Amino acid sequence: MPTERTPVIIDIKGLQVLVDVLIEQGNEVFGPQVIDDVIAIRPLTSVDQLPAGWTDDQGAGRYRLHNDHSHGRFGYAVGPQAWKPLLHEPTLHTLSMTQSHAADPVEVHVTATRKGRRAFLGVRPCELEAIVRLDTVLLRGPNVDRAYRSARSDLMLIVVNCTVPASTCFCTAMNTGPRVSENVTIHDLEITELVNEHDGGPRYVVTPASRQGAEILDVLGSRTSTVAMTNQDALDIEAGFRRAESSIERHVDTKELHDVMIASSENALWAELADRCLACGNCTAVCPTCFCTSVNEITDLSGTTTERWRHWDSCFSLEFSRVGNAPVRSSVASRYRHWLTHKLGTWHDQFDESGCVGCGRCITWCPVGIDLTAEIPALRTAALSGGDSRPASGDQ
Amino acid sequence: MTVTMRPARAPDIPISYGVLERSDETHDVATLRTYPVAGRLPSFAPGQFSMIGIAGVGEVPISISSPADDDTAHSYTIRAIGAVTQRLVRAGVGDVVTVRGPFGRPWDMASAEGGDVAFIAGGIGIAPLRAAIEEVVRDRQRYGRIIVLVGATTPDNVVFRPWLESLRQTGVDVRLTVDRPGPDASSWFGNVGLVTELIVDAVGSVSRVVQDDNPGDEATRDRLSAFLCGPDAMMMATVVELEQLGVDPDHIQLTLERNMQCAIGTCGHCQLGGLLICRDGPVVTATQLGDALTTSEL
Ligand SMILES: Cc1cc2nc3c(=O)[nH]c(=O)nc-3n(C[C@H](O)[C@H](O)[C@H](O)COP(=O)(O)OP(=O)(O)OC[C@H]3O[C@@H](n4cnc5c(N)ncnc54)[C@H](O)[C@@H]3O)c2cc1C
Ligand code: SF4
Ligand code: SF4
Repeated sequence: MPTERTPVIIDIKGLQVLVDVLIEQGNEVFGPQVIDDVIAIRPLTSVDQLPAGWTDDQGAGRYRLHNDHSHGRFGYAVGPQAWKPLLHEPTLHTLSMTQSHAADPVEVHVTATRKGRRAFLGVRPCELEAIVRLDTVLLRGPNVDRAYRSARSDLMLIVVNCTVPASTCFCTAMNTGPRVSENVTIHDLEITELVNEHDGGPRYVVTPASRQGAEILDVLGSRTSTVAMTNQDALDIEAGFRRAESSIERHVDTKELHDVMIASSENALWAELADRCLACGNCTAVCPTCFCTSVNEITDLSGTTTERWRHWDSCFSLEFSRVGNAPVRSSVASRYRHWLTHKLGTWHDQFDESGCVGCGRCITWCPVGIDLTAEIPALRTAALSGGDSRPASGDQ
Repeated sequence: MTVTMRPARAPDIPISYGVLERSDETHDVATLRTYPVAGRLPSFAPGQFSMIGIAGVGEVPISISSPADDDTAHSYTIRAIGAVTQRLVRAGVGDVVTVRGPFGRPWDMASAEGGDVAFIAGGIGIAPLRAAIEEVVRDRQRYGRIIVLVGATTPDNVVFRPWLESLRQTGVDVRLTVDRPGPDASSWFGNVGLVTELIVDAVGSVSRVVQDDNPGDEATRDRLSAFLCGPDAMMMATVVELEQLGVDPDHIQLTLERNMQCAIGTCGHCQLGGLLICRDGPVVTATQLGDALTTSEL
């Protein structure tokens, strides 16, 4: 039904009504806010909590917020954490086991599920793509991750397109932004913020993207004044996206990138990167697609009850690859190679898509400012010239 | 948008199995024969593994070493190398362990039918091969000659030695080798050296036998299927040796070991290049493996 896709325009009061309607329908709403000098995702009840006028200045190893007093509430790019902690918790109690004597059956109580409806307001297009990647890994494999499945249930995803990318963004190269792609279908509403500094507050172009999204828009229409989009609005939006796209500074040539990565296993660049990399794991913690976890068990003093916990883990840690008494990847070079090769190469083999959505977080939050976009050209050149690399396999 | 759920058979939730019987194989290897006490695992195939654990200590991937035709009682042959395996090896009869599984791709036995079969093990690597060997021996009319090559550090560390001797009695070409014959060298009648050193003689001669039986059959050398389990370095050397003898890499299967936390393809630990070992392995062919083991620290 094409009418379902018809966008409407609301003002900031209308956006508050949207939040109110979501809450009335039983959702806990989350959205971006300024917390500790960064844009962070927190529970949200009022549009006044949104970062009005704030924008970010990001670079390799650099992040600063400043307020330029514009009317926009979404005039910045991604903060340090995406929505990943809400969907794939950093620390999770998965189950308890009780056993009084070694010969008793173990009673297992599973806790890794959550209840309640949630709505995420302000998901950026690249972040939505990252959720698509997590869905593939945690829901579409031969087995499903129980905790993630319950976190993904009863969830409204409301995308806000990017109009002010950061200098670290390279979504255009990865085909993940600055506007949500038509190929993505997991969200419910798509919003674009229109800011015209001459005629007052921001306006929001809201397009339904699912049946639930369309229903919310119907309720919204009965509660607040919505206006149809004019031709001029459509032109303004297009111009906004063109501006956003042309402001993107970083680029990655993704042509045969999988093959380039696979052919680069013996490249000397890894050792050079290892001289700079601290193996701190910041890049894996901020990356919206990194999903690796470890399990550990904690027992009470009597040894009767065991709590099984799951934590985010990082392939930069030595323990991560431990087999028997030794790690497989003991050098930092091999760990950096593993991380980047997984993101851009082997992720395709494992999950048929890229593990990188071009959000730039690993560039911003690397304490020594390692920038993958600056390293890839050298890998490509070496891989193409043959060098010490092996012939590439078929294009992925 | 809400994601549609599909029913899971709870491969992430441990269930209880009791130790029915235990046997010490070597000073640090024991076999635990387990039976279901609360719930039971789905059927398994040789080469698959379970996550077996002791509540409060942890759980680790261990292959099922008993034949797949006994679907109730499962055996695990475990070498004590760390926190969890040490406790498992010390488990007593009647103790309850937790299990999840079975996981992973099994040995592809069907592809070996009609040809010769070689099982090549290093150390504890004989454990994941045992169920496959039992199956081949049981259905031996479907296969050509059966070769079992086992390498260990010392004679005392040969796992399943009595069983291997009994296999030899039934006509299986069993050859053992050790790195060091140890103090009682005079009582060791097997070979000394690496297991790879046994291959040319054992496999090469088998290929000739098959060729004699089928004169002019160019494909006979390819009709040897090899099943490997052992340390990475041993398996790589074995693959090289077998390929030099002309064995088709599609017919060389190996079972791989990597760190595993979840065994259901979601923890990321068991990656080896493009493979997730718990999902795409642990059994892979030499073709699938490519240069993954020869690339250092992959
Ligand atoms: C598919 C597969 C099949 C296998 N089959 C067999 C088999 O049939 N027989 C066999 O003997 N082995 C088998 N193995 C190997 C076996 O899984 C390992 O030997 C076992 O995991 C070692 O565990 P461990 O706790 O005893 O040793 P450790 O190395 O001590 O521990 C293993 C894990 O526990 C963690 N850990 C260790 N110590 C600590 C600590 N102090 N604090 C926190 N965490 C810690 C490590 O991070 C590591 O991940 C198999 C492996 C795989 C992958
Ligand atoms: S690898 Fe870096 S740029 Fe790519 S998705 Fe992860 S954090 Fe973002
Ligand atoms: S954030 Fe930078 S220094 Fe830290 S592990 Fe990643 S690349 Fe290395």
